[in-house]
Amino acid sequence: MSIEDSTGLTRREVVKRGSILAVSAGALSALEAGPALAAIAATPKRGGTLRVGLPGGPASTDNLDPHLEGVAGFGQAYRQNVYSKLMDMRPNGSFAPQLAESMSANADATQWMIKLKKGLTFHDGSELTVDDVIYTFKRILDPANKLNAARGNIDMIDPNGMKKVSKYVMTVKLTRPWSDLPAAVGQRYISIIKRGAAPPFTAANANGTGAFKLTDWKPGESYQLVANRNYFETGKPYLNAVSLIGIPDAVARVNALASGQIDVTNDIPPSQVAIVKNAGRRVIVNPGGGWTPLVMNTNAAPYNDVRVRQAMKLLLDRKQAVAVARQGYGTIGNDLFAKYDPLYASQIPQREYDPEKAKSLLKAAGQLDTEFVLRTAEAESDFVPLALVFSQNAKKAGIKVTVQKDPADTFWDNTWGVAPFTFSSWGYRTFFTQWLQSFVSYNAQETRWNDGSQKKASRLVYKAAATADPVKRKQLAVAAQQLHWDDGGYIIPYFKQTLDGANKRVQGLVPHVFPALSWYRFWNFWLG
Amino acid sequence: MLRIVGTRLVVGLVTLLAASALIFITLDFLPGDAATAYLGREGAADPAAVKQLQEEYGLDRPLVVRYGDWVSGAVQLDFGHSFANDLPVSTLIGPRLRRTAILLALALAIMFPVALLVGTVSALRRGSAVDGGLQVFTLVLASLPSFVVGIGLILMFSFVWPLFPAVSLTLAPAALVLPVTVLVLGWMPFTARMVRTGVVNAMDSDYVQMARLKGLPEPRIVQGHILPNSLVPAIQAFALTAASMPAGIVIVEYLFGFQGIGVFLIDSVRSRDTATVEAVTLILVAIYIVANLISDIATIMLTPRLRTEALG
Repeated sequence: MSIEDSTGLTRREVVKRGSILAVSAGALSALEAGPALAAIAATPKRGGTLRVGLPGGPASTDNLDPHLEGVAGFGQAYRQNVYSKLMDMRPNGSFAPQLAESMSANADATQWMIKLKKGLTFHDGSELTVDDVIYTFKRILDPANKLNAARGNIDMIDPNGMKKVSKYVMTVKLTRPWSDLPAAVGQRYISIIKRGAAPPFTAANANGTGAFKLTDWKPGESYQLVANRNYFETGKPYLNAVSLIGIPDAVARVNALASGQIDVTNDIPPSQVAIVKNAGRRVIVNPGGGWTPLVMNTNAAPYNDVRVRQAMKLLLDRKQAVAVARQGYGTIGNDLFAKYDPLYASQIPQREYDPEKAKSLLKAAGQLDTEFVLRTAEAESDFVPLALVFSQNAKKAGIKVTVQKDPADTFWDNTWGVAPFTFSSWGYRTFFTQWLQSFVSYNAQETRWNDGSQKKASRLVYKAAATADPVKRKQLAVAAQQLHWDDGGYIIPYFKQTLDGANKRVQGLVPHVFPALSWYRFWNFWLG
Repeated sequence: MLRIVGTRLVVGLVTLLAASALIFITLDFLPGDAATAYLGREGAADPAAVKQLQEEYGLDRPLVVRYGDWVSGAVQLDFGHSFANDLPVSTLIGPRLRRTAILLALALAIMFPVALLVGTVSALRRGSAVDGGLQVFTLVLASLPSFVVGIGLILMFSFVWPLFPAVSLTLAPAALVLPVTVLVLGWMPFTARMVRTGVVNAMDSDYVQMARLKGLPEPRIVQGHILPNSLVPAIQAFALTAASMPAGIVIVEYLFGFQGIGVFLIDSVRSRDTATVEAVTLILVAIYIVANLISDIATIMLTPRLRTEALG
């Protein structure tokens, strides 16, 4: 197996197996091709400064450590443009080599060979070699460095099992078989740093291989980036500079865009779309892999009865949920995640709103007269409207669902993981990484799905992760998803589409499964 | 006089200390702490990692010990370090405080004379159409939330007539016009109405009656007797306005994307950054105490009765 298999899988499988994947992947390649073709048609112009409005965030949390998350928008835009990773996520959610030339695994995916592109340099002029990659992975994997989020993505790598073969070639031994390593090392925290680089990370010592160099940093306020003219993608970046400007309030960001003070921004509230369009700006709809599940604690009564869980899943009118809670900006979900992963089980039939069937399931479970309590909060903009839609839908079936609203600020500490029936919120991840997050990591407490069928499903997933043959891997993954669809604690009403706004001069901005600004790949942007 | 100022200063310091303790305790009641906020929901999540961080930052020590530690640092003007980027809190506060101070100073410098003018004109023309118009105008302004006024101004002066920027990303004069205007319009009505009441009361008073009977010309009566006496309620209104300033600043800063101390305070509360929240709120409390001190001294200077008592 090699990386060409995993990234090329989407299209090849579509061709090979027709209808199975045609829906999601077909829609995506159309999405990708449209604006991309338009961008190719015009020759990119060089020069100019792109002004990017982002929420910014707490100055005291904002930081330059390449392996921490940083604050909303800033953190990812900085790490994505100043640093590079071995792999990077394409607009359709698959992973393509960035610093790596190739990644290939042995038959059971326990050992990988990573080849680097030759002649790549850091901003300080030194050449990138596998020593830097080994240093980076060791730093992330050392628990003493407390890089939990980053470590969680690549914890299958054995820190003592990395070997330098030559300047550009290394081997990696895994502690468990993992065929999805390219996606793991392509996650947002896995920036490759120069060997020896250590905290404190400052604007002066930020040294990556990315398309832009950091020249100035005001915590929580702004980042100034200038083009790295030695960047390895020929002809890129087109821009001379990028300014990341913190504007905390969404409406103020829209005003700044409409009045021409910034060129692009992300996360435009659906209610502001008309203002953006009337001002002659463009609105880009990202297909959106983020999702807002209703989570049932499968260990707590009455949700420990699978019939109750199935009834709840049938009690939601998903089309109405998209219309009300997302003002139409979303695509309906089928209680399964990782929609854009080739492993997504699109052959499992769509679950529909079926109050009659829900009632008979609840009757069989002896819970027809139970008052269900759904706890929500304004922690995310769609939590409360979604709760109200659910309770109204249930009421039509004669089922009583009481919505209890908790304080937003304490939701993640006091409600989530505590209430037996509440909400959660996730961004887009590939199937394997999301499975680990949802059912193995600390976050598994949101559904506590740990019965026999979960164990069976997880065994299938681990087996899939160790299977090189893509067809067999998919079969295993689909079987696991079927178990989860029948038995798990997630109700996934929709995938959220997100909205970027841009000045018409801005080119190279294409819809991306990552919710914001083409995954901040500013080296593809140019100003017309 | 000195004795009064001295007493006020001591009371102010005690207030400051009490406020700092109250803020410390309140923040401690909130679920989560800097360690969980730092690790984030996804990374965090591992209780062992949270515990390790708490030990490292000393968050596991008793409240009293942590508070004592913080106070001893604060009196040496060391407000501690931020958790995630290890920068001294003072370097984060400095530039933001300066920006907000400029905004505030401009707003107050404009608000006070405008309120004085509006209140005095309104009172001198009591019962006239001018008075009625001004009364309605200030009443409407006072009852409009400042974000509504702000959005209206942005709509008018950034989009219909694009004279000023919609968000204030710099301290350029044009960028300050709208936020300052929102603050002035938000605070002016209260002070203006207090001035009007003061002037009306002074006009009806025996000493003004006496001055009129003495045959003093009206302008001299206004200058010499009415205005100085009506200033006292205006100054008291100013002191009361100081109490509502932080709220007004937060709204205006969010509305105009202005990177000042208000936005910074809210962000710090969200990230459970106790050291920063303490430092910023103490600055706000200190401003409030100083504003009250100034208004008390000014009141004493302007009131002959109090002045003689104080000096005597």
